[in-house]
Amino acid sequence: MRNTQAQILLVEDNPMDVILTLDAFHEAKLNNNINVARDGEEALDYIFGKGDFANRIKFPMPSLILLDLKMPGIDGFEVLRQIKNTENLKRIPVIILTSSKEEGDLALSYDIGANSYLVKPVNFNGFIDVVKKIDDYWFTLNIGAPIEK
Amino acid sequence: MNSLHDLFMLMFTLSQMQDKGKIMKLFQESITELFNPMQFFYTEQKEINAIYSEEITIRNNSLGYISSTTEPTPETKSLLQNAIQMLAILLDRLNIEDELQEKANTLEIVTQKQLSEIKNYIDELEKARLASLNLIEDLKDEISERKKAEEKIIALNQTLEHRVFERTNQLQLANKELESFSYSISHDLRAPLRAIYGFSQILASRHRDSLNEEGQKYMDYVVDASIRMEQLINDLLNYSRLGRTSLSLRPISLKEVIDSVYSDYKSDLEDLGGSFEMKNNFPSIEGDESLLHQIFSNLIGNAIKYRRIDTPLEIQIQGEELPDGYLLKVIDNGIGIAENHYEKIFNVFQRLHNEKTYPGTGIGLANVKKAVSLLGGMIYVESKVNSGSTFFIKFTQ
Repeated sequence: MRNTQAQILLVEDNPMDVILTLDAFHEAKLNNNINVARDGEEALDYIFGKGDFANRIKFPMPSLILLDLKMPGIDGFEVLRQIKNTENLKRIPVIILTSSKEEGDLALSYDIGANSYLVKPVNFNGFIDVVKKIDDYWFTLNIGAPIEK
Repeated sequence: MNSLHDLFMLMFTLSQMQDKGKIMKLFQESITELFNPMQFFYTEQKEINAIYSEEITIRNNSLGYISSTTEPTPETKSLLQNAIQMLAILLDRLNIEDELQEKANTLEIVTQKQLSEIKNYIDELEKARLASLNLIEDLKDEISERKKAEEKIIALNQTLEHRVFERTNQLQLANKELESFSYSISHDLRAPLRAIYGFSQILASRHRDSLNEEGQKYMDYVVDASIRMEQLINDLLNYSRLGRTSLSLRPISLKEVIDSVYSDYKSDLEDLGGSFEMKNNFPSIEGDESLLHQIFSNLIGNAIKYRRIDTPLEIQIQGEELPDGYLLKVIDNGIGIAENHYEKIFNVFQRLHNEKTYPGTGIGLANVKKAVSLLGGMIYVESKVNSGSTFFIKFTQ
């Protein structure tokens, strides 16, 4: 029994990682609606509903954000900071999904307010498991924040 | 009579003379002249044929005889005797003078000789003094040379120390850069590896049927290689990460660390019927807990991995106090290591056996060595093939 609307925003600049992530969600047979932002700027535009993204039918507000840290231009930390510093956005759970397990990145992410931190597995089958667990935890087990009107 | 006066004059004249022979001759001639027609002659020995002789004696020594062929008158005798006495005195005086002169000469000679010796001695002393002055000068020169040389050595030492300091700094910097490099390389390699691994996995499973047997086999190889590459990158990442975060050095109980590692491997050891023994008391040492944990975990894990098939595994941990620190020994009865490999095994990705028999990337001991040196210690191994190995870790406090 799902607790939360499964609306995911994936913020990832590496196109191959995008394909693999979407493939994993597909393989996990999860009924999620996933949108992709290809860099930090696009992510912020999506979340703040700028330009085309104002269309909330086509581009619904995410109930979960999967956020890569290392991106050119506006990086993941900046995106995270803006989300967590904005009143009607900061309740959205943000899972950092990155290749780095550096202590510095961990500390900063949690300091800014990340809800969770995952390292991208190299093993694809492993990644399918991770994705299933994300779905299980965040959409079934976890009780999400009330949606502000 | 004039004879007395003439005699005095004669004596006076004679007293001025030095030559005894001439004196005697003149005396004899003058006496003859004075007491003319008496003839006197001088002989050294008493002449038997002489009518009259007067001996000339000086201090009981006979100097000869004044003799005449005729008997002189008593006056003449008396005068003659007086004259002879005076002559004797004169001659004596001359003898004495001669003696004195001779003595003086001898003395002069001796004195001269001694003076000459003294002078020689003085010359020798002077030479020696000059020589020693020269020696002192030479020594002074040598001392100042030595001092200069010493100063040079000190300056050189300082330069060397400075260079060593600089070089050490450079090496440390280079090391840090290398670590940064291997970290970012292994980090950046993961992204393409994810793609290779991920897509080949999908091909190998989801699209397996569209491949023929060879295609399937090759696809599986690609997947295997990707798995291997992930291991290598992870290990390299870990290795370069070791010591990147600053160490937190504090007193750590070695016994607690070893116990903790043992509990990780306890069930494996039980399954294998292996034994684990900790001998001696283990002290607390200044260390970093996670590094120490990694060290023991690797060594004990290796002991289990490289065990002999035919013999039950025995692992022993020993500790020994040293005057300058502490020595740890991790002893096993495993397959052992050949002597020519003792140094090699601590290299990154160094393996002695093929991957099928003993899995792993060969990073374990490199990690241990790095962790040990980060804690200020050193590690070395002694082993016998088919008998067992002992890993020594020496911590200097």
